[in-house]
Amino acid sequence: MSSAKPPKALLNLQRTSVLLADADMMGQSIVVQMLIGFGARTVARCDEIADARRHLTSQPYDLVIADPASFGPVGYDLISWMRRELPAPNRHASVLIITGHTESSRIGQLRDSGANFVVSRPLSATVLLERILWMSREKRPYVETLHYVGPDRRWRDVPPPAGTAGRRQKDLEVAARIAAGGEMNQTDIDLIMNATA
Amino acid sequence: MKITYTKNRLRDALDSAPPMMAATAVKQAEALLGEMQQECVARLDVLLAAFPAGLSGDDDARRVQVREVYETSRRMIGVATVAGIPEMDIAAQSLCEVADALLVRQKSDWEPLRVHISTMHLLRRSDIPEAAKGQLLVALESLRAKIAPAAPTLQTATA
Repeated sequence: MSSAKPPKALLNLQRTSVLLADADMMGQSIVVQMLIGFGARTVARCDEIADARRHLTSQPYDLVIADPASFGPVGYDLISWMRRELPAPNRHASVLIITGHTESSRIGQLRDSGANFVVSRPLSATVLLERILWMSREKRPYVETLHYVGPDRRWRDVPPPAGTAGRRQKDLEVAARIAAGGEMNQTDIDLIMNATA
Repeated sequence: MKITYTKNRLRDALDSAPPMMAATAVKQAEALLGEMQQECVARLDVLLAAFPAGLSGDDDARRVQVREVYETSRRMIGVATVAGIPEMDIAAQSLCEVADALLVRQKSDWEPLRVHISTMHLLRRSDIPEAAKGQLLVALESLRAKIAPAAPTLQTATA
């Protein structure tokens, strides 16, 4: 399924409690198989929003993976509810959103939901593993404002304006990496989001 | 604005487990996905059969049916690759963008949807040469570009 080279890193989800919220059972099963391959033993599977909320209210999770679109319009509120209404630790749990396709009218809502990362289906095992590793290394603080609650999005590696030389040696790194079709990190994604907003 | 610095519990959980090479984890995951292939093929066939043969009724009814086409197609994305037919994922993605663009404009044209669905049926057949599949996808891309030329997406990272 994947020809991408796995990262040279160590990872084992054996002691990671994962909540997977996806209304589509086949979509759920595909992600669960990958998580089991990564060593996961505790995966709470929720195919209803109420069930996901009940789980998140009753016990702590280290990683939340959700496909909001699979639940219809109510699914888009799950993560923002989690960030605004839940107490710690789940309020600050790492959240990965997986989406097959997002309606254009929902993109802003999904972007501002407060997830740590958004990835698209079809999702390979390598990409899922890389994103989990990336989130595990995150050091971003959580911000709470009137319109956004979630990982701080101001923490960016923004390249200089086009046509300028830049001030640091690595200034052009992000733009060059995107242009080369390479892997993107959260700051790259934030840049693209801002461009399409 | 309130700023909260909190420890990364995901990192703590990963650090507390016996280390496993990422390559091993990926290999195990791919082996488990391989076991799901036939199940995914069957699911794909169910979804393919769920597409309507056409749109009917007044404008409101037709838009409801376009939404159903969108939802069915969205459910296909990701399943097709595990089923070993990644071209159908591309077609399903394209169909979602076209259906979404129609819904945004409150239109319910059947023809672009029909072309996508027919193409999916062709891609599902095992006797179609790879080159022909490529040509079919190029044709779909051309159609998508006409209906949804600048669809904003959340395309971030895929396999």
